[in-house]
Amino acid sequence: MEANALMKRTSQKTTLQKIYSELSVMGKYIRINLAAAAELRISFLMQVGGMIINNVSFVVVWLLFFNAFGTINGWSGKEVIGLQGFLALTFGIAFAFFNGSRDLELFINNGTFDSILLTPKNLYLRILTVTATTSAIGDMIFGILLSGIYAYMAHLSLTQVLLLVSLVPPVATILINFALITSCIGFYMPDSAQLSQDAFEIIFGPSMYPSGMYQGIVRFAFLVVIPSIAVGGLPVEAVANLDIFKVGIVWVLAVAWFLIALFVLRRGVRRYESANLTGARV
Amino acid sequence: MSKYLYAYFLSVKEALYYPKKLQTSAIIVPFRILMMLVIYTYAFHYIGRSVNGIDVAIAVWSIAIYHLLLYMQFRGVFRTIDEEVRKGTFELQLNKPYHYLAYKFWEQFGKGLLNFVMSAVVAVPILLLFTHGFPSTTSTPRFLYALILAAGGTMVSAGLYILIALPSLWINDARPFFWVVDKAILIFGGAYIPLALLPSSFQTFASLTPFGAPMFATQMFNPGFLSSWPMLLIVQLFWVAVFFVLIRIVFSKAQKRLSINGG
Repeated sequence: MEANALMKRTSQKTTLQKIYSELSVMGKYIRINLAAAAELRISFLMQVGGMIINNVSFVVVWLLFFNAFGTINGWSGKEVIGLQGFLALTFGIAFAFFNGSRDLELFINNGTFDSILLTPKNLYLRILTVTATTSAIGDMIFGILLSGIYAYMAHLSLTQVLLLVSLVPPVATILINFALITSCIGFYMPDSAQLSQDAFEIIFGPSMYPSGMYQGIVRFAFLVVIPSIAVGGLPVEAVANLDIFKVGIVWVLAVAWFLIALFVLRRGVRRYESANLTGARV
Repeated sequence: MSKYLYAYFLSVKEALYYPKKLQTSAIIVPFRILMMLVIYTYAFHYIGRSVNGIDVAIAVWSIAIYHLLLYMQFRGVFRTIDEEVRKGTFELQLNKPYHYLAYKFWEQFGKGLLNFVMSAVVAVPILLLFTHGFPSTTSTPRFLYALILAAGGTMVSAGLYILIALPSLWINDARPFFWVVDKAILIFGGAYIPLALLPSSFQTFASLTPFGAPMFATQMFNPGFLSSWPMLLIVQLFWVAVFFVLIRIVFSKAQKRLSINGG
């Protein structure tokens, strides 16, 4: 009787209420993940600090590159600072809060995916928020600092700064969904953590290089087939030239990769077979 | 010694059991090399000249050697030791009839071999095709000296990564050490920019510190390599000796500190 009443109440929820409910639960998961990560204070600080130092190295590498070659195709040290800052910021946001997209393969492999699958909330959102990465907070802090330095060096106007900020959500969406797609390899191949990681590197590696050096078919491939330029170079070019067309491309790609990820995840889940792992969840 | 060689061959065999992983490594490194090829071809074409005696072929081959040698080096030993300390399997292995670190050394050495071979088999033809053969400075003596430096570099990297893995026994998470060291090797080893293209102060730092030493072999195509390689070898031997002593001290302290809870 009570169950029937509950089902009736649930079905009476409006779409907006459902979305609010999903987002509210997602927010709680994120808060719990971050609180758990911050519990080990020294480890937390070391990971954040270590990641900032780690990121400095990539900036140094490309500054040295442009020191040797000078400005190439409109790209110099200044643009590289913008690129690395924007990438670190979006990567940090994407994986400080939604690292489950990268860890999905591990859950499939060790059998804990069962418990995620049985969650009464939206599976996609639950997968994304199941884990957080502490070091990604370091990326986020580094990204904010470097983007600020870029805005100052490039004398960005308020419109350009707002444009840069508006590009964070679509780029984070591309990163999260591409990571989820690469993690879905786990549905098809056992013990594929390294393979998933390497597949993700195929998008992320080239995104860290100055996109001014990708021309012709290479540029097309890294924009459409693998969205590397869309998460790095294109946003920086769009902001520098106030190019709304490029901003539009980034948003279209974000929607496209979101839909592809949903499709791949649905196909993968259909293939999934429970290993009947038993254990206590604390 | 035979038990360590057994660990080595066991790792090689284990790698053979996962052919898909090997296939992946045969894609990723050549992919990185192709990216560098695209970038450096464009950059040199754009400026229309060589830089410090380095042309496209030398730059790309140097970077390719870096990425190939990475498989023969000891980045992975950090993760192994760090994980074993966290999981508690480290203590169990100390009771075994072998030296823990020596065993990990040979195990890691075996793990990297097949990945190195697979990557090289795919990457070298790509390089030969796109750079129209070997760089103009290639010669047999350079190749032999580079082999010696590659072996020396492997030993330096083993020392460095084992040394930074041992603090896992004291602190909760030693990964920040790994990130810093790993990225220092990335810069001073020439992962993205050949050493000869760096400013002279960076070159000097790379030539003297343990961060450049693991990858001295990448300099084999540089114009001045034939005169500089003996000095590079001496630097490598120096760091191997330093790390050997430091690891012995830190490992003995770690063993004294270790407390095993029954259960």
